[in-house]
Amino acid sequence: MLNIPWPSFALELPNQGSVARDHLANERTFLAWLRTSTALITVGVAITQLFQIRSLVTDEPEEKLVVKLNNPGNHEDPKFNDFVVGRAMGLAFIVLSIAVLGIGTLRYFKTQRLMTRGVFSASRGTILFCSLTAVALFICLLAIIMRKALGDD
Amino acid sequence: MVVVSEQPRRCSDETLTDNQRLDIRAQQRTLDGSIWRTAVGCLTAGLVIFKVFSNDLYKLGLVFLVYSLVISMAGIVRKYRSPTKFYELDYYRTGGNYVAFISASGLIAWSTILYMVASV
Repeated sequence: MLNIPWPSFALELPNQGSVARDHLANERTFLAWLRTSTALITVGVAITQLFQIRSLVTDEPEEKLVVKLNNPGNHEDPKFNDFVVGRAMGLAFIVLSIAVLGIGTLRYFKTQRLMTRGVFSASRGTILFCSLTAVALFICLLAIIMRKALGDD
Repeated sequence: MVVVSEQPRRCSDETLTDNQRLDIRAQQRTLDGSIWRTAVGCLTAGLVIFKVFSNDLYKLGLVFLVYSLVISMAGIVRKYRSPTKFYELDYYRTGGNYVAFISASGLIAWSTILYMVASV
């Protein structure tokens, strides 16, 4: 073994009662947060991809679109705005998934520390934040898609 | 007449106590169940991006595939470094290092995807 003082995030605890089970359950909860994060980032990539299909969102030829993308400002074309908003939505989902992974990790280490003192802190604020953000993003997405589907242009 | 055993045979090792059985099940749920489920989910996301999305996004799929490989490798190392009869040890070592590793590599992978999507 290398004699390098690696930082250790693991704890050595007296193996009594349900200590091992509790920490394994904590690890499973972290993995569940990681799965949620994976699902959200997949949605983010999917949205980015869908709004990249130019014919779905705008009739502009590619050269004009590139000029517009490089000169963000007030454009009257609602389809072009959808193109930009769709990309922003995709990025928002990706940022949310990074936040979910960060929250899951912090929650794991906080719980690991608390459980050595025999207490447990249930997640409330973080879950509320994540679900409200996701719902808000989905409502925005629905609004964009409905506006396009209803064809107001 | 059907004889119903009072203590049904649930585990090949009859000397285990109920507490030890619970410990073994918890470990299998985590090391054989949850970690693999996570890796397979990540792999599926990568495959969907590879096959369903347009070709110029294949690098995003690659990031997912590499990350699912990292998760499964960490899972294999975690499984074979944790003693089978860990319930007989005096001290239990938590999986904090593996969580820190998977989380750090996940943050790197997701940041890469964020950068790639933002610069498309």
